[in-house]
Amino acid sequence: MVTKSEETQLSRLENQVDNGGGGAWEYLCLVRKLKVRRSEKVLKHGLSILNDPKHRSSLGSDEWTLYEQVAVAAMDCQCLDVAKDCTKVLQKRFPESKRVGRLEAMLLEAKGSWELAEKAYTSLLEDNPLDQAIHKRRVAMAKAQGKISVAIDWLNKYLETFMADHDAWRELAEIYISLQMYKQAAFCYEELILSQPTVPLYHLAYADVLYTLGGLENLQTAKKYYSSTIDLTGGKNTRALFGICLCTSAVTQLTKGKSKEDKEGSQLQSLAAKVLEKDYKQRAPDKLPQLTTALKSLTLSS
Amino acid sequence: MEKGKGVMGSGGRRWGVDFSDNSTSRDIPDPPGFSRASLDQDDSTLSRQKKDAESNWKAQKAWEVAQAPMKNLLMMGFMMWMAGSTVHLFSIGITFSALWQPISALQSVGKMFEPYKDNKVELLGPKLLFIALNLGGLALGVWKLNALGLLPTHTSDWVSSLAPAQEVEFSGGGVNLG
Repeated sequence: MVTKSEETQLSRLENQVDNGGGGAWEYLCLVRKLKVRRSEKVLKHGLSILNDPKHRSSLGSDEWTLYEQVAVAAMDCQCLDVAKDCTKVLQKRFPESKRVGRLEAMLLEAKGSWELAEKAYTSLLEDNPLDQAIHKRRVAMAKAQGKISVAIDWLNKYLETFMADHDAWRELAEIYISLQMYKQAAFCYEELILSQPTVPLYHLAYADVLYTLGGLENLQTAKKYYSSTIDLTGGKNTRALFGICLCTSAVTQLTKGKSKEDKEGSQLQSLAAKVLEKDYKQRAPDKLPQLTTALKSLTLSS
Repeated sequence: MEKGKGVMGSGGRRWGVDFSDNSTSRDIPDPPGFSRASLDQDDSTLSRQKKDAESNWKAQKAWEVAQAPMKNLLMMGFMMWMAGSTVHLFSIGITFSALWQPISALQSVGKMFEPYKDNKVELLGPKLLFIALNLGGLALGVWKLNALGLLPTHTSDWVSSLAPAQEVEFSGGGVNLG
């Protein structure tokens, strides 16, 4: 995940490069390091370096890394001619490279030649079965074709080998949510929370899934996870604050005042409502009446 | 999967999203490590089973707590026998600890069984057994106290509290009155 300082640095460099202040190579390096998706900018500034022989030769061995970066960005922008040219240059320089082989397969994928791309990926995996990037490309390809169950299959196989890959678990969870398989999605988020308990995003997503599942036990657990999200974000997560209000309201409706934790729940709800009102006053005062109405309807329904 | 197929019914309203849970769907594989056992039963059955299991566990633990003084009783009896019947510091210490333990246990009966309170768990039986065993321990302590001769069961133990005998007659001799 990109930190606040890294984001600031990236946007500063981006503005500098866009306004002709130089530092294109530094910008491209940072984009690569942070693994952010800025394909149009990478393509534009990358090509400007590659088309300048003097600048290009000054990079030394990093020239080939730039070719690869520009090729991927070109595929993302559907500039397939540029991608093809970059791949050809790399193929000429590294004829037996598996990394270049992967680029060629990606190019086939970008063209929509699914069968050929699949064959290319399969042959690459035969040589190196532990290449994570290729496994992930196969999943992406299945998703792009709309073969969701195939994508899930590939992801499951991938996760059996690389169980600690958080991004893969998250992707799987999101696919399950799109198919409304909430219990499976909840399981994926549980795995994520176990491996990275300090990431508030996972707590929030898990709480959302539990709230969607419904039922008294799930709602009570969802409320706890919304609370932990608020705790981890220092009380600054609006979605979690709304979640607290919704959960408390739903729990009250289900228990009809029989629950022992009614008092505690209502205190939590009023606290969340206060924080929301304060936040809206500061950041969106024109939306405050809508918020007040929504919160009132929640307390009335409970 | 067609766009929106899983979300909206074919004949439904355009934005009428159906949030029904498809978790039991068999044609899509589950994530690695996911167990379907919990899906085969509905949530209410599952929570009922969980509550029943918890109640059984609580009842079992309550009986264990109730029977705990039994071991204590046997151990104390053995220690008293080892201490002998002569009055010295060791035997007095053991005897008084044998008296103090059941008394303190009887004072905290409620606290002892607090964790096992449940609508489905009957705590009267375990509590009565616990009290009976502690009273047994107390009786053992009192018996040892008596064996040591520290119980005031003889008349001589109460001499100090008896009123002095009234003198009916007074005689004196060899006193010259002259």
